[in-house]
Amino acid sequence: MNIIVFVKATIDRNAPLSSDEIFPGDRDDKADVMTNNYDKHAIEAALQTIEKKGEGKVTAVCLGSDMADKVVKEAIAMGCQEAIRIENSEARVTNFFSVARILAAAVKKIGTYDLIMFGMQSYDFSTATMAPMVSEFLDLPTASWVEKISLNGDTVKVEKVIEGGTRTVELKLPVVLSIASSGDFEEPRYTSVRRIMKASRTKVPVWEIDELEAGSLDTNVQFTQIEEPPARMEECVVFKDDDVPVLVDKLLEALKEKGLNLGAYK
Amino acid sequence: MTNILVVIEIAKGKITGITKECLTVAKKLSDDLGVDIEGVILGQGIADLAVEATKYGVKKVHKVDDAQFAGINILYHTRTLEALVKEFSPPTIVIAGASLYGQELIPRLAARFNSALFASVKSLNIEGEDLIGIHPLFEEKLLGTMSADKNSLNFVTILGGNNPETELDESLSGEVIDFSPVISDSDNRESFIEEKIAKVSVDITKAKLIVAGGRGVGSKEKFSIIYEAAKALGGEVGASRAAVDADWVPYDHEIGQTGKTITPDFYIGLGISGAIQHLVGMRNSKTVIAVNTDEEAPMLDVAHYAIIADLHEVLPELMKKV
Repeated sequence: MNIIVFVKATIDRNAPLSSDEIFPGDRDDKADVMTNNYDKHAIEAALQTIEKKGEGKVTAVCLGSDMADKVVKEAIAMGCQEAIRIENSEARVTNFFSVARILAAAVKKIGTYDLIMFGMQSYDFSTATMAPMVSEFLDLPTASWVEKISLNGDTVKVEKVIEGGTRTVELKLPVVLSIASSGDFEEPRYTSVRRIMKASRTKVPVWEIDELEAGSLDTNVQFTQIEEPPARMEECVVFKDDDVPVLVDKLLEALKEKGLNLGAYK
Repeated sequence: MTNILVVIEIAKGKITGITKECLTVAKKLSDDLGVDIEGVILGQGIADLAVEATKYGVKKVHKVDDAQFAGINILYHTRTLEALVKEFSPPTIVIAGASLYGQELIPRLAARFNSALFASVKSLNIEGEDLIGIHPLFEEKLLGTMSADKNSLNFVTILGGNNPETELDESLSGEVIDFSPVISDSDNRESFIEEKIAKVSVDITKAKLIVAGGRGVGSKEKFSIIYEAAKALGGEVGASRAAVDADWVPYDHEIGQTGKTITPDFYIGLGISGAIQHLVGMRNSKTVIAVNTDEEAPMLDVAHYAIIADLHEVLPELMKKV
């Protein structure tokens, strides 16, 4: 069983954010970069799948600059046997359509695979387009927001999240899955010191985009501007540091001043 | 001349709310472009829903009504939509909701046409020769402007909770045309097995006041205070996904990306930190009151008023005084 899991480096949730430094390659401090948190659920799903099967290999693949090395090492530290980084220095390719083409080309270069896994979306761009686009470029079936996986010969049965419940579909291998952050893979495993040491010694091959047969990297939809949303007109009025009855009185008074009546529907 | 084609999504035997939000966006585009809205609806036994779609302003509904579409098979839907889109000779804007269905289907369909897409945009407008969409980044801390030639084929998914739903108008009418399913052998690599949908007993979308609880409520037993407060104030109970996942409250109370979008007069959020997936479902509420122990919670970015204290102390006091 060969599983490819894609991992992405994004700006860390706690790092300062500015509209002209949105890619890890824009930063100098490694602390500003993290593994896209949703991808850890995909790694967890990949590892659980081979553990259940009793054999197999998980290869983590990351398109990114050397700032993404930390993300690749974390994937190994979690338990992925192999990893590949595709060099994307100076954030050369950033639009998701071209990224999907590059990732599909990387899968073809790897050659042997049964399952290809993604996190359900990214923290930074959140387009949730990778799994469906890559599956189309590879002409493979796909399912998104997968919470449960059961393999059966050359098929896989998956339970996926839909609004208000779940849908179960059966897919013929190989398949592309995006893994939900709920369900069987809700809690990604921690790395151990031993594994982190091992990961730091593991040499990760670096592929070049131009070596991959990705086809045209032009896109018909461009991001023309990234900016901060307009500031909120009104600030939240905060009541704190007082006894609860006083806080509640203050709230009700503030509502009354605005002509708002919380008791109107009693 | 550019056509507009809206994918009319069905869930639980109804046209979904997010589809009606898409139709609001489509209406504005159709006025700007001077064209009619067309729609496509796929399923089995959906003749009534196809007619209903015309009452929301769809002038021509392409209906794929077939036993093979009784359950959703994304490969079937992709193949059939590919065939339909190919029948449109002028360039078309294909619009669907950024529901879990739309987000699985539309990127795949776009890729089949070697096209990118306006993925999960809040708005979509014509500006000169361009089609412009606004896509939130970093959980809405930044906004990205997406742009493409309006005179070419474009694919779009619209995020829920950003546009009002189109209202049903009985005076409207349109045409319903059958479209035959197109399925190739390779599409049978996917088989629909079953759907499990939670039973719905309440509709919180019409409530004027919502008392919503999240992970911070603490336990199923403690969640009963949320029910008491909702009852005392004459409102309905809402919940975050975390509370629903923990089985403290049934799914039909869930607010957000995988739940309901609500716009009540009052929303009181208790022990809800305010993950973006929840905020998209409630941030257009008229007055938002947050009760939380954490002043840094993202909920305070959308709240009008906040009390920083233990919700289990605040609620009894609030019930007593209102």
